[in-house]
Amino acid sequence: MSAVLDKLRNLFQPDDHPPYLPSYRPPPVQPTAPKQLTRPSNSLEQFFLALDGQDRLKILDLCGSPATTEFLFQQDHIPRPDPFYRALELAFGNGAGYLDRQLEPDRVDIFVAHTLDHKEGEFDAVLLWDSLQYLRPELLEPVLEQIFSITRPGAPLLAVFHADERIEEVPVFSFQVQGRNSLFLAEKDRRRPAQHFNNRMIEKIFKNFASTKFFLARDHLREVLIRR
Amino acid sequence: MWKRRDREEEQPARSTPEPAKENTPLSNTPAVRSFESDAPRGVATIGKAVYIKGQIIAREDLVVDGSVDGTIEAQEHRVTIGPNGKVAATIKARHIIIQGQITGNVEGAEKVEIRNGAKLLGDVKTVKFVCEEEGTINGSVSSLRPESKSAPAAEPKAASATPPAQQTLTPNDPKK
Repeated sequence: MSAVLDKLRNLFQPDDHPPYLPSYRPPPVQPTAPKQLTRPSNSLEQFFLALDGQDRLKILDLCGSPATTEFLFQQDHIPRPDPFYRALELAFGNGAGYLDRQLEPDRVDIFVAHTLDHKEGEFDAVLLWDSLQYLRPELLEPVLEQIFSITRPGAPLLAVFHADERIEEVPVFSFQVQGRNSLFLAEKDRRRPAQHFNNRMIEKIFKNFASTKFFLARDHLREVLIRR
Repeated sequence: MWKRRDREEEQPARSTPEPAKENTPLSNTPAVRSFESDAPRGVATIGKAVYIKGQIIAREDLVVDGSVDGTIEAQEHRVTIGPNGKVAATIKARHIIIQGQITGNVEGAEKVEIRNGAKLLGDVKTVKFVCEEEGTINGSVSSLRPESKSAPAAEPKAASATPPAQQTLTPNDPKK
């Protein structure tokens, strides 16, 4: 019996393929390389248009990429890179249980107290990127309250959400501003989002802000320009 | 008698050669020695096994590969925080290169460079700013506009308007 099983197994092995059957080799599995691309971004262009005519604006960047910091500095603004993603990992971990740990009120309190700890109305603009989609409602609410508090009225905010509802894990990108409408995205990781954000949901979470404007971008990304 | 004996006892003691004092460097680690030997002339180096607390004022380029707690000033020179450097200090220099860790504000009159692996917790003020991909900053980065361009043009007017007793003469002032 075991000999038969071995034969059956061997039958499906490409090297021992019977000569009377058309040869079949499975296509080689390509290791999925981390995605990196540079693409135009209309929302980013609108973001910078909102800043035109003013220099030395304090801009909070939650991704904190050095390229963005350099670009904003060259534009005569005052970039403030923030290690938000790193703080999120330190507070809640980056494994499968990171969303469950966001249900612990003590952790949430510590995280909110130690991140985004800035003066009221300190920032003239905020680059949120895709940070919000990794926050459960229990954490999202206090974080948005904090962001509202530290930005001045009328300040533009740029946020990105994945538009694909079916996907279980979304790529975590490093967003780097390369020009006024040019964005470089480098995939760092994959992570389960806290919830799916459709347009209605996004409008709801930014209900305290003045306006929201949607841009459907490539790569199943929904870019949103918010006015404080 | 007693005096003679004393003299006799003292003499051999004097004649014996004193043991050579060991030159104990600030840092005994071989890596620091090689680092110092590699350093070009006119560069002061704080080795990685050295801890300094206080104010450092440098009149030459400075490399900090150890720990400093205080302030570092090298207005006309370059300050490099090496990969092993751990600095809790405000730094003012012409050109600042960060490879290690800094907690404190940094002011580079010409340029501030944050290299891969560097961590800066503090604000940066400079004219030219460069940050490599793996460098980390937690603080704002603002422009330190060179005042020398506008200042000389504005000064003669101000000087002519003020009474002679209050005039401040700069080294380049033609009236001097």
